[in-house]
Amino acid sequence: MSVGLDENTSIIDIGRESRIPRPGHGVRQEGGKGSEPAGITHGGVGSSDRGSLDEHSALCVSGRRPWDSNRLVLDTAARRVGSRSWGSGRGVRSTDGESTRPDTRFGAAADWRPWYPSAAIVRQVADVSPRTRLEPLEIRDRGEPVISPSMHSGDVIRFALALAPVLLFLAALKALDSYKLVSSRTVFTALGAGALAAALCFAVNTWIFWRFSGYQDQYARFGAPVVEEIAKGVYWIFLIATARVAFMADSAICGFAVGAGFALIENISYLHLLQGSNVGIWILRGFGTAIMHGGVAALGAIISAYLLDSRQWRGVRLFAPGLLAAVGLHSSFNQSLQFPVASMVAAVAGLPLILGVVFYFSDQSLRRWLGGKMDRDIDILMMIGSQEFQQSRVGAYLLSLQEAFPPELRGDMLSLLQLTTELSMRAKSDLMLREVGMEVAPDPELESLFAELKYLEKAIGPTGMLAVRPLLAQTPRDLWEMHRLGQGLR
Amino acid sequence: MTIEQSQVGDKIVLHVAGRMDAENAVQFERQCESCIAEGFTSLVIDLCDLTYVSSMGLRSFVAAAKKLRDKGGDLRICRLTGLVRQVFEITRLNQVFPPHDSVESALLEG
Repeated sequence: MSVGLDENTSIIDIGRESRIPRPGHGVRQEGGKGSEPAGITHGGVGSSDRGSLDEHSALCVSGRRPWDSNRLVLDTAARRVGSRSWGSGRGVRSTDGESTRPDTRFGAAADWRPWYPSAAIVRQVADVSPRTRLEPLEIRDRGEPVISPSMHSGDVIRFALALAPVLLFLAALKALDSYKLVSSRTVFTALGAGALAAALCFAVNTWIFWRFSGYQDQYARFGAPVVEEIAKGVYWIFLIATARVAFMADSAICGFAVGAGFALIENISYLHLLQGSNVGIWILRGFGTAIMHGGVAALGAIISAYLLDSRQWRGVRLFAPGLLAAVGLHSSFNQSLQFPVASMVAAVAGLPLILGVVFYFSDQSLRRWLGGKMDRDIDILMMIGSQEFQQSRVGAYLLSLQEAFPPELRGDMLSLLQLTTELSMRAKSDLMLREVGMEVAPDPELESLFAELKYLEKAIGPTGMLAVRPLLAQTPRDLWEMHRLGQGLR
Repeated sequence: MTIEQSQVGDKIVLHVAGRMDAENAVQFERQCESCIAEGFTSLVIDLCDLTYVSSMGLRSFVAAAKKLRDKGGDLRICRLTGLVRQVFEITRLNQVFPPHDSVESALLEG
């Protein structure tokens, strides 16, 4: 049997002989009398399994392409052999049948409770696919060459399961953002920040595991969520504190992106550690743990954005509830690792529901703010241009400053008020156009308007700015729209 | 706010007067929708007597323009004055709806 097996014979041969041919590694007959060196008998698919694989042979002979029926054979073999005990059969057995090398490859994966039947069988059969590698994973994991570069379909599936769900979820969240509050650049930056947080946590967790080796379980349940959520929280807190995000929807997207970046690095590191591990693990990690990382960070950011909007709290108190909620949910997830499927289902089913509600209310809130604030801006504009300006509240306030500031400075204050109002209106009309899906053209005047704004702030000076502050819109959302407009300059 | 509707060829001219605020902007949007439903895809909005436009009014213009453009038509605005002109310029909606000086020039375009 050669390496370049005919597609239709490869599975048949494996089924009949249960041997794993490899280039340079001959196959010895059962009993150890063959002349080829270092033959390996598959620990799982032995002669007793011929029935199931012969069934597959029939499928191949009947003219179906083997890869078409591969999934079927996987299922069939798993069903037939799965009922047997495979607890110790996962090791690689030498052909003389005397020594068994323990399967250390599973490493941490072995810690997972066997919630799925015949995991080893599914894995082993899945990795014996036509036109792909014909050796069990044990050989590959020992660092020996695989047969061809195209023989990693199992790895591709694991990568996809580990990384795709969280990225697709993030893409869906971004698509739901009807006002396009978050740019792709911001999302990528948040992903990077999450990745950085993961690297930091890896170092911290490793040190803590080493330093307090007797408390690893407790740390995983209670300590790690604190460290990880704080590390993730640094970036979404920064975004909210600096008015780069101001609504629940954009906070959710940015928070989720930070968590997604974290989860990507975590899963990539696990992909490296748990090479060749069961696909089930990656379903759990991809749909469960990764979504959880994104979800709890998103919820933390949403809570903080809500508190910011309601103006109930300020400073550290603004972010503490969101961070505590993220830590609490993360810790709860880690407590329920004995029930990974339930945790995964809760994350996958619960989060879209919560985020759907959040996006709905965020859109409502944004629409109200947009309308109300725009009307106030128009009123200010109308008032500045009217004959009754001096009788207005703003005019009266500026007149009250005449003893403290010279007329030219009061003129600059009025110009500043008019300019901030105009910029605010521009930002809102952009949002209005985005809401209905109309394209927003770059504004060539924006640069000069921001230059004028800086000039006026400098001319008025710190004291004058303090005096004029009551007239200027300085809420976090007002600062956000200025920041958003400023982004258009870059 | 009052809206007077007239038809010139295959185009509809809507003369809007008064204040377009949150309460009556919906009225303008409905009028536009009924024109679209009747098969007209080009609307000319004469705003010479409009003295005030609120955010809801601006939103109505944008929403109507979007619907018309989706059907291959357009919304044209003419005779902007005073505060309304200023608001359109500041919000740069004059880039989205290039204003015309007269109803005739708006009708002739396209």
